[in-house]
Parts: sequence; structure tokens; C-alpha cells
Amino acid sequence: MTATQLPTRASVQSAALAAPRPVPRRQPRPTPLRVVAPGERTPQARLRRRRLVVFGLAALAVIGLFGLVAEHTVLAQQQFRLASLQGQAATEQARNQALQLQVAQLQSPSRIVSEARTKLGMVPPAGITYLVPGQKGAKVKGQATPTPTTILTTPSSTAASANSSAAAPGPTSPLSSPTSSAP
Amino acid sequence: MAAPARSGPVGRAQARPSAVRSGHRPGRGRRVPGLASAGLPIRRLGAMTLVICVVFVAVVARLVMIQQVHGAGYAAYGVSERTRALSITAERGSIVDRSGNVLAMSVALTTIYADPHQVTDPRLEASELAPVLQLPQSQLQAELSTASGFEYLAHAVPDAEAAAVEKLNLPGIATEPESKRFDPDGTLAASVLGGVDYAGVGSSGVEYQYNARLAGKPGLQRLQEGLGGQAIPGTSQAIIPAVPGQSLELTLDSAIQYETESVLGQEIVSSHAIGGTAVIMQSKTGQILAMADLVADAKSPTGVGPAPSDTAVTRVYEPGSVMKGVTMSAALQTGVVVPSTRFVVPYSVSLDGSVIHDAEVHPVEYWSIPDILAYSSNVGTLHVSQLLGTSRLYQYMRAFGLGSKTALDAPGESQGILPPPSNWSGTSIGTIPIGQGVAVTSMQMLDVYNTIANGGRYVAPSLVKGWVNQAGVLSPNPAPPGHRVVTAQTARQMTAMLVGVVKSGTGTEAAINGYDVAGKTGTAQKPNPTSAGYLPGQFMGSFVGFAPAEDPQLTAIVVLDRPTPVFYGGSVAAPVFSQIMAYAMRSLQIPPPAHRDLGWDVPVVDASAAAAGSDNGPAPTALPVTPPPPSVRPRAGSTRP
Repeated sequence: MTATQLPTRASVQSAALAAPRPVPRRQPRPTPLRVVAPGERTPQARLRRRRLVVFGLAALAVIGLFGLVAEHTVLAQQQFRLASLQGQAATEQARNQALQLQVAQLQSPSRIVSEARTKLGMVPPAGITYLVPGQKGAKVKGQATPTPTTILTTPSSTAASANSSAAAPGPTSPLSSPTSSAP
Repeated sequence: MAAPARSGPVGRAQARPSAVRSGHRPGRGRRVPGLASAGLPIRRLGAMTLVICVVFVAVVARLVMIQQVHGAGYAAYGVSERTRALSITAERGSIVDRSGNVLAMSVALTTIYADPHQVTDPRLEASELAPVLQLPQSQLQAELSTASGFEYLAHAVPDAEAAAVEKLNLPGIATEPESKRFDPDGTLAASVLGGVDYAGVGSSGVEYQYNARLAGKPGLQRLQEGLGGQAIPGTSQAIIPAVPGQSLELTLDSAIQYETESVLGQEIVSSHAIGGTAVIMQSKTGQILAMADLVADAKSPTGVGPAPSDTAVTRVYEPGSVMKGVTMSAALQTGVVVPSTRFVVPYSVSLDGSVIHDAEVHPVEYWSIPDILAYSSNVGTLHVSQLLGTSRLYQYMRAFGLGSKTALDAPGESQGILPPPSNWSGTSIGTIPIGQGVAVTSMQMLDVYNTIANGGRYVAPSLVKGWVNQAGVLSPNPAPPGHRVVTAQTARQMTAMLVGVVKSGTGTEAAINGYDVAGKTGTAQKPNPTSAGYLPGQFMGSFVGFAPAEDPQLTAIVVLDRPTPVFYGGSVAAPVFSQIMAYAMRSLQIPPPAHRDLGWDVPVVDASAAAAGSDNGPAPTALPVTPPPPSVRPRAGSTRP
């Protein structure tokens, strides 16, 4: 016997599943239209622009920070370079001083004397000759013959001779004669 | 059923078995456990957020405290920890001679030092440093192991060694600049120049006397150091810049100085003296061209070495007969005698219980002033000084500069010993005029004869020509003022007499061929330092003079200390004078002046010289002259000419 059963949840659900009812379609709401202002952008464009601005600012900030860091790095680099150059300058100055000292040592009289004697074979001259014209200040008027000349030979210093190995005096100048007139 | 009560959700879940196990509550699906206490997670979330916020705020507050409030203080503390103050060494000025040749200069070298606290392995580091520094490894290791923060390892090493040490890069080893003083000419003028001590401060001689201007002023530099003592570049600031020292230009001439030292050294060796002094000075300006102070040194290859001090100004001695120049000048100036005044001069005379006698035994002579000077007669000088008187003699001795320091003001300079007239004894009138019983320095005697050379005007000696600044500009030292002592005529008369001394008196070995040399010999006994009287057999032989006599350009003194066995000034000092003056005049190109008859009213010393044509004027005819016997030559005796 088919008695009318009271609808149960399960029965309703199964019935709906068996015979699906079409759901009334909703009418799409018409898009409201309006006049577009000149220069106004679409939402997509606006969003893109906003994103672009944000990105740009971020990039600028990054570049700025990078620049700051780079500046500090370059500064430190140049400071190191400066210190190294200063060190070089000090080294060169010290080298210059050492060379000046070398020059002074080469110019020292004792070195020159010993080099002249040992390496070049020089000896002090045996005598120096002075030619003194017009001895005794004689005033000669209208004299054809020249005023008398005096030859004086001064013995040179024998400072080096005592130390030198060469005992014989070197060649004397042809002008130096052993005669000396009484002054 | 009574399940044992268990803590935790499991127990709680089991406490309500029916609700869980059935899962068949109508129309509600699976139940989320704990849904009954729905607010708890949200509350926990809120609580955690609150806690995080509090912590965050605390951190930010601390950050603000550190960075903003105390930030500057912490940064300053850090800087103060890192900062080190260094002194910037000032470069010491050089000392050059009158031609610009360097006599002393400083070179910047490097000093190696260590911080033993930072040395990790003393033995290893010592073994690496020893071959580079050429020091024993044991010594280096000991220094590196000491419990201190600073140890010098090697001072002023050459650049190559310093570079090698830096390349080793050992922990705790560092370098700093330090300059070292060099004398490029070896021992040339060493006694005059002096030296510097380990700190680079002048300790003797010119280096000491002018140290303030030579040294300059050190500066101050502040820099920051990192770990390990490395300087942080860019943080160094020179607070006070260093002022470099000025260079000193002396009046010395290197060539003449070398020649003087060489000749004097040879004479010291050949006369077995213990030392000697020789000074050459420009007559007109007082500038010293050469100042040689030598002592005998057996270890030196030349037999002599530099004296420990500038003995020309520091050593006092009794001058002997060279003092007669002062006595005679004073007598001529005051007019108590004229050059032609004659005295009866016996060999000896008694004075206040003592005997004054000449060097040589001779018969009674009738000598003029030039004779007395030429033969260095002590008795004759006594006659003159008795006429002159004590006070005038003392006045002229002071006027000539005896008893006071010279303008050199050298370190250790002595003013000599000249007793005032109140302290003179009865025999002083006989001894002091002949240079015994009074002590002088070589420089003072040189100044006396330079005054005569300069026409009677005292010229102060000087060793400093000027100062050279960094730009090389010389600022000359102003010459100190001189004063007149005797008139030009007196000086001319004295010069003529001194020429006679060299021509035919005791100073013939001082003659220079081609020039007229004026001078005086001196041979004086050395006083006993511990008791009264003199040391037997010990003499100072000296000669002082100037040339050319007609127009003096150079004045010089030579003193030999204890020459033996020959000790006369005329035999040991006069030859040195001749050689060094000849060299100096040649070096400075001073030609022999044209001889002229100066018309001095001085009679010739002896007739034989007049006959040979000496230019001292014709032989006198006014008074009979007893030519001195040729045997009257200075020989052994107690008071020397």
C-alpha cells in the first residue's frame, strides 16, 4: 500500500537530486555608464600607475642607499690610497736625505785626498810660483825695458806627503825655479 | 564506566563519550572539538599580540635610548679608546761650512720596536728577526719576552732592513721613524761641532750651543687605531704642525780645516806631544776659518784624534813669552818707551828675593825694544814692565780681552785666570808680563795678536756666519761690536817688531817664502796642578802671528801640549804655522803684497840683516849697536822665550 509519507529531509534532498529544478537566472545588472573625464584612466591603468609609482620610489630608495654605501666605500678607498701615497712620499723624502748624505760623504776632504793619492796617483805640488811684477814699487818714467819681475817660490804644504807612500815629489811645474830673490 | 581520570583533552574527550562516539547528532556534521570554549584561541592571539607589542616597544625604547640619548656619548667613548696622540718629530737642521759643504746632517731612518704583550711566540719571532736585524736571537727573544708594553729592538736601521721587517709582518712588531745624525766628513772639526745624544739632542760643542734653533719644535698628531695597532686612514689630524730646525752656516772652511788638522796632527806625532790646537782667523772680520783641537790617540791610524772638547777655548795654559806682545804694546801705547829706547840687559836680575833670567846665558847687552822682543829677553821685559807699572799693565791686559770670555760664548769656555793687581806678589811684575803666573786660552792670545794685526782695534771672533731657513735663505749673524785698544801707530810699530822676530829672532821657522810674517814664539812651563811650582820638563810650545804683515789678512795660533824632547815654540809650533798659513793664503788667493818701505821708525834688529837688504829700513847710525853673538839662541832654561 502506498501511503503518503511525510517528507523527511533525506527524502527532499534525494528528490531534489533526482529532478533538479532550474534555478531562475539572475539578470545581470546593467553597468552604469557615465562620461569619462579627459585624462582619466581605467582602474587597471590607475592600479598599474600606482604600482609603478610605488615601485619607482622603492627603486629610488634602494639606489639612494646604494649610493650612500658606495660613497663611503669610495671614501675609504681614497683614504687608503692617500695614506699609501703619503707613505710613499715619506719614503722618497728619506731616500733623498740618504742620497744627500752620500753626496756630502763623497765631498769630504779626507776622502778626496785619499782617492787622489791612492787611485789617481796625485801628489801635492812641490812649490808654487808667484810672479810679482814691478818689485819694490819702482816708478819708472819712460823706460823702454819692462819693470823687473820677481819670481818667488813658496814651498807647498807637505801635509799629505808624510802619509803618502810615494816618497818622490811629483813633476814640478816648469815655471817653478828653486831660486828666490830676497824680498 | 569509570575510566581513570586522565589529564588533557583525551581524558576530557572520553568524559563525554556519547557526544563524541556517536557522531550522529542530527544535521550538524562533524563537530569541532572544543567548540564549546569558542573565545580561547582569540583571547590567546590577543594576549600574544599584546605581549609582542610590549616587547617591541621595549626594544624600540632601548634603541632610542642607546642611539639618540646616549649615542653621542658611546661614540665619543669609542673614539677616545681608539685615539692615540703621536708627536711628529721635527727635522733637525744641518750644519754647513762657509761654502755650503755639509759638516753634520740628519737622515730619517726607522726604529724597530715591539709590544711584548702582543707578541705571540717570542722564540719564533726572534728567530725570524735575528738575521734581518743582525742581532743575536737570544737578545731579541729576551726583549720580546719582557713584561712590558714597549721595547726598542733596534734604533735607526737602514731602509732595506726596515722594509724586510715590515714584510715579515710579525704580530707585536712595529716601526716608527727616527732620524740619526751623521758627520759626513768623518772627524773633521769634530771637537768644534760636538755631537748629539741618543735622543737627538745636542750634547757638546756647536750642536749643544745652538740646539734650540737646530732642533726645531716637534708637532702633535692625533689618529685612531684599529685592532692590532693599525692606523685607520683618514682619521689622522695634525693638531700642531712640526717646525723644522734651521740650518747653521759656520765660518769654517773645510779645506783649510782639513789641512790644519792634518799638519797639526803630524806635528803632534813627530814631537810626541799629548795634544795641540791650531786656529786660523780672518784678521779683519774675526771669522774663524779653521779650529783644530787634537789629542794624541795611539789607536787612530793617523796617531791623533779629535779632542773631547774645543780645547781652543776650554783649555787654559800659561802662555809664556807670547804675553810680551801685550806688555810691549801697552808700553808703546802709554809712551813709557819708544821703539828706539834701549836698556842694559844682563842675563839675570834679582827681583823681590827671586831671580829673573833670560833663556840663554849672555853677556850684558844694550838692547832696544825690537831686540828684546826678537830675542825674547825676560830681563828686558822686566825693565819695560817696571816702567809701565802694575795698574797700567793690568788695564791693558783687560783691554786686550784677557780675563774675560770671548764673544764665542762656547760651551765650557774659560775666561782664563788673570789675578787682579791686589793679588799680585812682588815678583808678579816680572812673571806676569812674560806670561807665567797668568793663564789664558788659545783663543784669547789669538785675539790679542789679531788686535795688533787689525791696526789696534779688537775684533770679536765669530764661528757662526748665519742661519739658513727651509727656503735656503741665509740670514747672516750681525757682527758684535769691537773696540779700540791701541792706536794704529802703536800697532804698526808692534807689527814691524814682530816681523823682526820672524826674520831673525826666535820665530824664523814661521817664515813663509814670499810673504812677510809677523809673530811671536812662546815656550812656557806647565804649572803643577797639585802643588806650587811647575812640572819639570813639561812645556807648552806656541806660536801666534799674522800675515801678510803689510796688510794682515789672516791671524793664526798654534799650541803644542808637552812636545818632547824638542819643546820650543819656535821649533815645534812655528813650522806648523808656516805650513798652514801658506796653504790658507794660497787657498784664499791672497797674493804676496807689493813690498813697500813703510817708513816705520824702528831700527833694524841687527846689522847683518840690514846688509842683506831687508825692507825694514836702513841700519841705524844713531847709537852703537852691539851685534848679538850668534850663540844667543834659546836653549834649555827655566823661563822660555
